[in-house]
Amino acid sequence: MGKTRHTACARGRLPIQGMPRMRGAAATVLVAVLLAAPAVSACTTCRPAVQAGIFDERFWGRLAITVLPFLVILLVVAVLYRARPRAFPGEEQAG
Amino acid sequence: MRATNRGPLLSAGVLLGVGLGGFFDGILLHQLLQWHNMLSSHLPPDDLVSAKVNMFWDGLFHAFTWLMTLSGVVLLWRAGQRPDVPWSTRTFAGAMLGGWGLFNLVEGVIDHQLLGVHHVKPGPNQLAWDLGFLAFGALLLLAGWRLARRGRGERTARWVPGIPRDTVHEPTG
Repeated sequence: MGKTRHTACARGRLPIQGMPRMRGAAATVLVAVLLAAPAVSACTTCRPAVQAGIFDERFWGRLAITVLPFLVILLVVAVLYRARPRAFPGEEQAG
Repeated sequence: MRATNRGPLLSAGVLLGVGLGGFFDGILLHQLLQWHNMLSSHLPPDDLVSAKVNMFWDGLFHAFTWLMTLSGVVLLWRAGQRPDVPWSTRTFAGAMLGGWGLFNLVEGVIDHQLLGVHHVKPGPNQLAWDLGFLAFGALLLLAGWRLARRGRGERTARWVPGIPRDTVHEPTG
């Protein structure tokens, strides 16, 4: 039983006959059900206000503020990456 | 060949430390404790729309943090395949600690002190909290630097030329 299951999984199929076709249909149904769930359409009245609050004239400035610390950190990491290896006294310099 | 090029391992560790430190900040301070959000000083999250706008910017912050973590994993993987890079636990752990400290310092100075987009814990003692955050970052950076320094003597690469890289260790039993 275990061996059969392992072989079937290795081929990317479920062990039950007919399941590969059903998987696509099941996934479609699952996505449809999830999209139809009340949580997806929650807050319908406030969503335009949220979008307006995000994508206003301050968007690019706020994006720059959010990215800035990461850019500084990437600069430090680039310097670290390119740092020349240091040898101990009496050792040959690598590279 | 002695592995002396610590740069790739240090940079991988720093990126992973930055990423995990960023997640620690985002998960603990933004979501669990809800002390602040990305823009909470500019746009206080005291109604649903403001809270959701802040949530968007928190999400973007987490997305960049995720990219840092992913980059760290890629660099670590590549470092492990190089014969000139030492596979040193102290160097890597020190770099991770230092990366977390670096995140706190850079984010604290830019976002809290210079731009003031948010503070660690807004209120009457917000400066003390901000300075504490910076001090914690400096401590982490110092501890990481000292630990990584202790790893300078470790000079064995993960991959040694002459030993096949695709050697498979079969499980026993």
